[in-house]
Amino acid sequence: MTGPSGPRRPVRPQQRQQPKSPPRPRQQPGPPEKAEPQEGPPAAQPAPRRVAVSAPRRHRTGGYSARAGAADLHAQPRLGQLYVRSLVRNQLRLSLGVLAVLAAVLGGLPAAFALLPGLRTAEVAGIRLPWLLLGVVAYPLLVGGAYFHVRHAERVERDFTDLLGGPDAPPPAPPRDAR
Amino acid sequence: MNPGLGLAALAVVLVATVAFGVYGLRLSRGTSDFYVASREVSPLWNASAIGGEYLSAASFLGVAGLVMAYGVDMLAYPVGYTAGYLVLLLLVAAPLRRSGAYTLPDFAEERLGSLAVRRVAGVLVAVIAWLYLVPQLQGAGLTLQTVTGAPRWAGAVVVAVVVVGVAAAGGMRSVTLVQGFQFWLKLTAIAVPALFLVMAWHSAGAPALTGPDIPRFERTTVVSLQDPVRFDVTRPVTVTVSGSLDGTVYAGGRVRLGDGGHTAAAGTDLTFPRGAAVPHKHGLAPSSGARWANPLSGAGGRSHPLYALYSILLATLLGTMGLPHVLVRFYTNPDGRAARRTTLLVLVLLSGFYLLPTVYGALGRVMAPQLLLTGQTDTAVLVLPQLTQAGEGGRLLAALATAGAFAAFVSTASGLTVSVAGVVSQDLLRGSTRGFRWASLVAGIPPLVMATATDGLPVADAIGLAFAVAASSFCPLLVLGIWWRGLTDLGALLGLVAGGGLAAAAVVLTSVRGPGRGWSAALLEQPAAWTVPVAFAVMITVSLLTRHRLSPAAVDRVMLRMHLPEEVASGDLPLPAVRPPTAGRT
Repeated sequence: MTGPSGPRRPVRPQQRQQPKSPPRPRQQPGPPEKAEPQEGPPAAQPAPRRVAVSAPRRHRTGGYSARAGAADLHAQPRLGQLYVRSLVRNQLRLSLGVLAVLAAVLGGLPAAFALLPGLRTAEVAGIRLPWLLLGVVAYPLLVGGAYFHVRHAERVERDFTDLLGGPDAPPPAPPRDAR
Repeated sequence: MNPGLGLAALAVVLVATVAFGVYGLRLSRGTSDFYVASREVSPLWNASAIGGEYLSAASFLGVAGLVMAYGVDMLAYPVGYTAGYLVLLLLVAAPLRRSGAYTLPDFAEERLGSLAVRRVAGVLVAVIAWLYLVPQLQGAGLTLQTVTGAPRWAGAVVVAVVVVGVAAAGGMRSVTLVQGFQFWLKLTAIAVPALFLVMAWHSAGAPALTGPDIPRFERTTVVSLQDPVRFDVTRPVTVTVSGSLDGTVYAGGRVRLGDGGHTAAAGTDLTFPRGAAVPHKHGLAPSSGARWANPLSGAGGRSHPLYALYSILLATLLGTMGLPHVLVRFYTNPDGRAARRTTLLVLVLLSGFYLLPTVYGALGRVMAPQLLLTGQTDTAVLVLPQLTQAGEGGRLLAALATAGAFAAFVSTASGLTVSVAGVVSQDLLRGSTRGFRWASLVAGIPPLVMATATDGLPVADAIGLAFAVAASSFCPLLVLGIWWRGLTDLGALLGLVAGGGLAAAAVVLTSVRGPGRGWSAALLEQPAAWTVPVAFAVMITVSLLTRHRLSPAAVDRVMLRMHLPEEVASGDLPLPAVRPPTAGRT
């Protein structure tokens, strides 16, 4: 189930919002030496495969925890604003992607029946196709969509936490896999 | 049906409910226990409870009934009920849990800082919950009548008393226990008889469902009418009548029923010969099996099937997130991540359940076609099990189905009662435990009066209207509130009033004028397709026009809280503390 909602690189607020030049004394990705391979601008990486964002982690020397990061969010409202906005954007994009697939499938079904009368009476394994689709097939698809979303939403959050946290402060709670 | 076994099943469900309730009462010590079970419910148990709460009379009885009468289009209801949880997961689950609000009005106030929006949301919660409760209670009346022959109001009263009692006594924690248990009861009660039903259908030679003819009685059938019925005969037939037919009283005499409408009084027995075409209740157009099995065919006499299908899908997809009893349940998750995982589990549980009502709806047409005559297709799930097995086996299956049905009424009704009581007690009675108990009464009584006073639509249709109201009011509020910084209090207020008001007006008009034909009827019976866009449009337009009312700092604070993962937001941070549900208004 990889539709338009396919996993994406998280948006790095530092890069997106350069012109506003927010105060980001510590979150600055530092001299861009070794970070480059993974830190390229989003446009340079059209492949939808998500890679773990780890650059800030590797080059941080300050050693602050996720909590300190969150405190920063409040101490520096504009920075916090940017961070949260990018998190919200990523989550929304993920949700809208899955939603688009859902709308296309569920919304397309009646339209297909209306436009292609042959589908209405088609039979698969002795069962009418509309009954099979609406009565059985729809459910595993819904569960699959939900599973996909839970996994990726948690990953977006993990990336965000990693972005805030330093190397010695791995996020305390999340197990690496959804279940 | 055998009244003794049916009553025993009812008693078991009620005793178990009360027992779990008492157990929960012993456990719930503080006010927080009382409201949200201290937010310490495990995902599986919580998912079972959500499923138990969600599978109402509409799911347990109504879906099968609608499928039986109107065909494959009606599968949009169960698919939509399930997909609604996916939409809820995508757009609402985790941020709403993290917002720390306990009810929809809490959310409205917290996000928009407006008491006016809070009040409107409170009113809408009550309206939706009442709309949702009425068919539950009517379903209870119908079930008790089918099982024991008791008058319609009796079942409604029994369920209302138990529900208000349990809710007032134990609050959320006991309700969580009760509902977790009731989900599994419901699943068993619909799955086991379904198995026997399919076997019986096979052993009867697997009669075709999609034949070119309208349903016929497979054998000589005695139809006992519990209510007065007006039905239309399309093919003249000679029947044996004992009771009152067309104003004449017969005692076992043979009567030739000619084409056209006939009226039979309550208590009449009509004996149809084998192979006779089944007369249909007035208003339900007879359809051939082929037509019934085709999508968008308008089987059963429904007009504009394509529009109705889309409108049902829209209402159920977007309405689920706006149901007050569904949302309250998310606050029993410890954090946003658990809220998501719980939702995923709920989807799995619901998917398993919704495979089954279709079986009853489809096989009911050949195995119990008399329900098309009495118009009580909603009782297919109750009536069919005992036709599958002769003697005791069939009665036991019927008793199991009855138990499941009552579990459905009790669990959904208690969830709704608790959520309305939560809103009423927090907004009017200052959030005390005692206030909550009084509020339970306020929540339970109006729908009881409505349920006993009116006759009602098919159960699943009535529930669909509650979904439509929720989809056109709370869905835009939640979606825009969570994802769009630009929503203003005035925009939300007008959007709630416009969307919720229009949908509620459509509901009232539909129930007053009854089923009709043509576009006006279709638009009123399935209002979601136009009221949801209206609500979104009003909210967005007014918000854009009243931009100056936004306070960016306040919006930032709320967005931060809703979207930050807990491990970032937790601890002794200067983040706004997540408020315990009751502290705000004391």
